[in-house]
Amino acid sequence: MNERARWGRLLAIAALLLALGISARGLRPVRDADTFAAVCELNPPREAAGLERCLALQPRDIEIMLDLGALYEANAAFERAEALYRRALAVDTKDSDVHVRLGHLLLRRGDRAAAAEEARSALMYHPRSARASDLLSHAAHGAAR
Amino acid sequence: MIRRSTITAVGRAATTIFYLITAAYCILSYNSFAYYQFIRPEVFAWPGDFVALYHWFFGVCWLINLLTLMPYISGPQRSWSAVAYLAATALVGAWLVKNPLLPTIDNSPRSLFIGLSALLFPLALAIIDHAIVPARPLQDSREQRLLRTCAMAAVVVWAAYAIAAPYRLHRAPGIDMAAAAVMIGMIASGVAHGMAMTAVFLLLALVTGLVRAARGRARAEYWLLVLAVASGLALILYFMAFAAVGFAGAAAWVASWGLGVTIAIVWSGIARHRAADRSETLDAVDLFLAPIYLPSRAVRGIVLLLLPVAAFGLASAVEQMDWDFLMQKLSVLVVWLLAFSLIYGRNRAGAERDTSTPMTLVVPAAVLAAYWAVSLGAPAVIGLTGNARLNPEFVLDSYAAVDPSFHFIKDVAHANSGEAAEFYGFLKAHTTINHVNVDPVDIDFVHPLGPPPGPRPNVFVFIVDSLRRDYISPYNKNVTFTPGIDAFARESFVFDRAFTRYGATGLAVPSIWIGGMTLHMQYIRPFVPMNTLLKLLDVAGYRRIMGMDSIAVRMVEGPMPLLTELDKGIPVKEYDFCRTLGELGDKLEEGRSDPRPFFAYTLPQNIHIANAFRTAVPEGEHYPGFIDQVAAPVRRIDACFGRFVDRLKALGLFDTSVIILTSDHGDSLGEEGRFGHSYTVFPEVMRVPLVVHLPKPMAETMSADLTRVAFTSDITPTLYALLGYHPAEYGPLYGSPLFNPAPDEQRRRRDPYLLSSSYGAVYGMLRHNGRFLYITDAVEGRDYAYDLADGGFGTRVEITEAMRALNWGLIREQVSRIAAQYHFTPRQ
Repeated sequence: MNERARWGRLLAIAALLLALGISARGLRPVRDADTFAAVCELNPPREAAGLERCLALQPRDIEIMLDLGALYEANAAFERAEALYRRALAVDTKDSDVHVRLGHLLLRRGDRAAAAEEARSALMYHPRSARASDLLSHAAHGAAR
Repeated sequence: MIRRSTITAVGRAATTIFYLITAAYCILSYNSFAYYQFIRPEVFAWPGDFVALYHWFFGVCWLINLLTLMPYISGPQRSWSAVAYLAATALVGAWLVKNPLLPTIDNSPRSLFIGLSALLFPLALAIIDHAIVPARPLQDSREQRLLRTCAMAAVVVWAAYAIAAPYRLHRAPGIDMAAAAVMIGMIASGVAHGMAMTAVFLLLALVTGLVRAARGRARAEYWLLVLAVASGLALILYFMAFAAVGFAGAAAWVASWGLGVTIAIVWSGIARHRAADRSETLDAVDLFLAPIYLPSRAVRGIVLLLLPVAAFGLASAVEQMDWDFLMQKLSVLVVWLLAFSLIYGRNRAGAERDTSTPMTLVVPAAVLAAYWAVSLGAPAVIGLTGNARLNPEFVLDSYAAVDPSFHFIKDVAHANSGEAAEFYGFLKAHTTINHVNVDPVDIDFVHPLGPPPGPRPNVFVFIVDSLRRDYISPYNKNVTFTPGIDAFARESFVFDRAFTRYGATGLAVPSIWIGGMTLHMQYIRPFVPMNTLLKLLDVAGYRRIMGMDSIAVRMVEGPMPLLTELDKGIPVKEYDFCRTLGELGDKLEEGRSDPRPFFAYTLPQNIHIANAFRTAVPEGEHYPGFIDQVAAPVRRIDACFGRFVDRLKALGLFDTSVIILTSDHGDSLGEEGRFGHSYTVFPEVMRVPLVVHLPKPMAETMSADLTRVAFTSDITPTLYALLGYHPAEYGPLYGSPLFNPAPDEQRRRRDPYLLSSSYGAVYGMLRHNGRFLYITDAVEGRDYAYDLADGGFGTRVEITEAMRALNWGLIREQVSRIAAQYHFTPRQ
């Protein structure tokens, strides 16, 4: 092998080695998400449409469900709020705060027995919770009436 | 008959191991984590025995060296350097008998100096070996032989691990892989082994090519090889071994290079001896592999066939006591070296034929193409299956847990982007801070702190080291072996979403005493200004009945006039909850007439992985669905705890005391192949049991959201609140009361909470009321995310750019905030 070929071969080996090193870096890609996901994570929207979009991207995020539920309650969209709270409880059955919120909605539409049930659930996970006790007493009082 | 060179080689290996252990002991002592968590508390018995018998070991090594150097002391082969070495080491040995050195090793720079000095003994002996054994002529190594060896070694090593993978998966309790996923893992592992051995071949080809192009001799090729091995060892030690114990920076680099160079030169010295007996012509690689050369072709074949057994045996022997796969990954090096050596020895036939054929370039290019085909094609193929569980990253991680060789290649090949490298560098600079003067800061939940406005109940804090929440019935209905804790829980508050702030005892326990997070350092001295729990005990006049474990002594420091010590004289690793509770019960009975309230505290070690896996399970005890070695001691301590609660009731103390049962951290018990807690912050390590019993009057007036995220660092602010204070709210880095007076309502805990490992640059960001955990592991350069909404140890989820940006930002901000509080600026 002449001198030139020898160095050419060495160059090829070095290039292969480099390609090998660069290739190995590509083993662990990070998925590019919908750019809106960044907005949800970094600066959550305050309007319902934005929160719905966030929830579509993060369908198990209870905090988004609660924000959205509160927004729907404020806008008298009680059925939508109730659906969200039920969805939140499907993710985490033990969240006393959600039980109380759901209970209040149930109370509002007159289902006192179900509201009392939610209040009892809330008290199980949050003993002596003032909000849950209050809900229970309202539900029980109404039921007695 | 065994050849003299073999005896010399074994002798050198034995003495070198002795000096390497000496160096490792001293160097690790310089690392505050290793010193305060393992060496000083004597977690393992053997370092203590090694220190005690050190001068005897030194003497035995000297005798071994005398025997192997005997032919060079007198006669025609006399070497004055050998004589001088023996004389000098004899003097050192005599000095060591009178002045035991190792017992004086502590967490100071002197230890590092002594550790590095210990390497001079094998290094000097290796230089003497090179001087006394004449160098033999070498021929140029052949590219084709190298290529053939690398290709065969890739197949053999891949197969050695792949064969055992299904069996290891079958017996791994926490890895769920479908058959398709296993297949994907095996294919990826095959390609990765091809890539790794191609890299080895190209490196060797580059070395030989450069030497020849520069008209150098085969000897230069040999020494370049030795240098490459020394460098490779140094890099593995620095980035894999030392990084795993948070040892970094200039001192770690010096230690890594010292160890790498010593091992390579000693190896080379042994190679000289072993090659001296051989008559055939050798090339540089032959000479380098001489220490483990087997002359018999049949024996080589048998060893090669047994390689899968050796690979499996080595990995299995260390898996349960491993340090986040470190030992398993290091064991891979042994298997690789053995495979390469055996195959290189077999490939002598045809070695004379040269050599630099186009094939030696075509094959690596083909491997590269195969890699690209697999990495580009795999996601598409997986997509076609429509199986959402076949996330390529998760599949490869799961498979790597049962294939240490693949795991090793993945880790070595991993590289970070510039942004990631900067972030991980930032975390490392703020972690396991060593040998830096940091002044303590005053932390007060109440200022000025006067006598408690409310009642002073007795307080029991039981921190069962490593107790997992899913091994006790209040958290797992499938547990039938903890009736004592179950009964206690029914009369207590069970916090369902409790976490530790730190993934190991070293900082988890201090965070309880502080009531929050602290600078990542073991430990700031004096610690008392940060110790808010101690301040409370002092001002409220509590008697202390405490186990003074290796961390407690550093938390309280100085004389404690009100202290009654538990487990006095018992090594920490032997703290047995049953024994301690018995002693505590006795002391409570003795002190019944004392009207002052007491604070009882212990950190029992029954469940710690270093004990649990070493203790035999009583005959006939089986715990389906659980690991017997862990469930058995849990059952035992549960029975003792149940009896203790009964005793408290009999003494009339149960209804007048705050009793807290928790753990400092959990443990991995096979999840994704992991065992123990080492430096990780995975959900099974960070989620802990937290059961709090309140005195009756308090229990009847307090409200607690049991599903809100809670931390063990909330314990101290909670005690403040229970004694009638209004502890200050210091934000997400500090704890807050778990209970509120009943009419009050606790707000939803939505803050982002920083979690951290105690021993490495691994941090977590816990968000969404404890339902989402983002983990960034700067040691391995990896990130993970877990959805914890299901209440267990969660489900791993894919990381998006947005998720990463947000969590990195939050982690950086909170780590910086801690540093600022302690006026700490890392060295750049």
